[in-house]
Amino acid sequence: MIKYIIKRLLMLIPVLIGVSIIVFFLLRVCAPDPAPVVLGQHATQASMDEWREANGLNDNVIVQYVNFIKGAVKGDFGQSYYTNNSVLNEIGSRFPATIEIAIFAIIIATIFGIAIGVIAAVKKNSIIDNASMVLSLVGVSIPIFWLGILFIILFVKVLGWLPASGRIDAMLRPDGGTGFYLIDTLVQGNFEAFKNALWHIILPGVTLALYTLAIISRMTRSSMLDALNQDYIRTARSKGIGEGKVVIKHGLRNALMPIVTVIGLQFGSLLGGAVLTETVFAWPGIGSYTVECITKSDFPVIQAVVLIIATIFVLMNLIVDIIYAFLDPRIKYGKRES
Amino acid sequence: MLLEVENLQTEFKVKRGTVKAVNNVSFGVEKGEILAIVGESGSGKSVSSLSIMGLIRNPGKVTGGKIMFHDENLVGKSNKEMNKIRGDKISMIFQEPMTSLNPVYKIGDQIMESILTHTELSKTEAKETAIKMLDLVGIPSPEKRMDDYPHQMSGGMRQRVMIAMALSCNPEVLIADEPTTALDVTIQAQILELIDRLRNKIGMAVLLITHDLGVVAETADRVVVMYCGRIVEQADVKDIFTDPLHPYTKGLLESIPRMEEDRDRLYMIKGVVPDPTKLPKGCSFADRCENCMEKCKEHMPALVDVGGRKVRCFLYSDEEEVDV
Repeated sequence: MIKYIIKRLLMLIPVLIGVSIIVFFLLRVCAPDPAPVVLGQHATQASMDEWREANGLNDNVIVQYVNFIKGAVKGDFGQSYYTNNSVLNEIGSRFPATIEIAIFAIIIATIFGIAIGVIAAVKKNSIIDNASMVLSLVGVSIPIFWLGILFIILFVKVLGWLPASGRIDAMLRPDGGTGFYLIDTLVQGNFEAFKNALWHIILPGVTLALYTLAIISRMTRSSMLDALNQDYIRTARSKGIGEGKVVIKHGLRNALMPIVTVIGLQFGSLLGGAVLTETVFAWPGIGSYTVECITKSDFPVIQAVVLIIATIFVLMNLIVDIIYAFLDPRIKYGKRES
Repeated sequence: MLLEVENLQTEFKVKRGTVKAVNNVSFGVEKGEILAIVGESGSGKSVSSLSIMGLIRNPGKVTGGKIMFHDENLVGKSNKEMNKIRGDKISMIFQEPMTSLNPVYKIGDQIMESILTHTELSKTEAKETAIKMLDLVGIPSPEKRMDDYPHQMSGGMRQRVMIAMALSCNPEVLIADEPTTALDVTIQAQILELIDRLRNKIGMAVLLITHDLGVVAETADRVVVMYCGRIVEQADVKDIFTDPLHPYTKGLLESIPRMEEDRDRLYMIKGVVPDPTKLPKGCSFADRCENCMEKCKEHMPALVDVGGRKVRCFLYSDEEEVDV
């Protein structure tokens, strides 16, 4: 198993090299020249040339790439063109917000998605089944930014229950800590701030969760229907164990593999930042920041973010594969069947 | 009778109409007896056994009759009430040993699940019982095998595990639904011998569902022959083989290859089983019967006593089925 994990981690290297080549050269080919964007429309040619020289953009593009890789291997992705802060610091200050909302969303989506899917499968073709599947179809197809705005209108403007934007009220922002406000406020024992942060995360978190929830519930339903039709379910029933146990212990346990796959991949993409949700709710995460950097041709940030997201995806896939081995005893990695 | 099925009716509502999968079927089985239910696919033998277990699922339903077990009618019992009987007093093994065990749990845990559900035993005691059961069904080094997953065992071994599981709570009735169909011949013989031995040892009644008359001859005491959801003949195993009455039973016996005969072609019953949603008006077997008479196409014969055995055919009695 450990051998297998190491092998998979080594395979990360060619993936990252490939991704870095694509993003690096695409930016140089497709993105607008950053110099006028950074220095402003009225910058002189001389100052732009000077800026380009200083940022190494006048070098041969191959040389630029080699320099970028040299730095990246050491963990140095350069500075943002705008703030001159290290790219990793810029990203690091926004990642906790994205991770926090991604975890919040995936928990909601998993709990409700699996519950709805199981109930729909058990009550196949009933009203509950049809209703939940129609709702999940709606959930998959509805545009998130539009739904987000509807939620703001309803829960903020009309009902006034929840705040519309941000992660926490400025006065209550916790100092230092992990950057996960829900954790920091709890650790500091500041329950008012915790409640405030929780209230802030509900709307964007639920909005973000809905799409994933819909996918998980559909996958759970079809996977459960398949599992419940298996012979071992009949065996379980013939043993005289309760129907709940039959469905959960024998059915769901066998149906979990595709569900875990979906959850893993969805979590990977949530961690990559949810651009629309973050924009609608002014959530200071990595998604909206990346889009902002793309429009401003902030090359170093874009390169670093893409590499990080690619790494997260590969790692999520690896984690899913490792979970497989625990879910299904027939799967053994790195061992030949004797 | 330990278990007595009276006028059982089980129907399936399908798009093209209602299928009476089990139509007015009555039989009983005594303690320590092996009753074979014989018939081809779709004759209603499996549905009868699932009805007894209370495992008929939508769109199927037991619509009439009684299933008496210890003077208690199982028909109409709730799922919860049936769960106290299933796996404890009446248990069942299935045709497909390869898929009947849950692939993600150790076989030991699957056997223990039955024991823990129906007895007050502790986990350790349940484990001991499970090991004893594995030993009883002839699995070598049972303690080690407890930790095996189903995929680590062969089909014959898995069927033994199924039997161990079914017998773990000392059931009074074992329903074996084609227990040897998916196994190769040497394993078949071992499994049947095992069931027979356990029947003698524990004194349980066995309901053996099969389409294989060879299996019947070897193990059963009495035989029920089913066709299109109805019983067509019921007799002691010796009578069935030496003197079959119903043309269908005769046909089944004719179509078994025999060592002592030299034949180019095997006998076969002409035609096919009729569409269960559109059974013919008279006897269901009329179209395929070599002794078919005019009357057979119009009227359904009743199941009548003929010298201590039962047969449903106008060759032996003119009595008609009242409720068709």
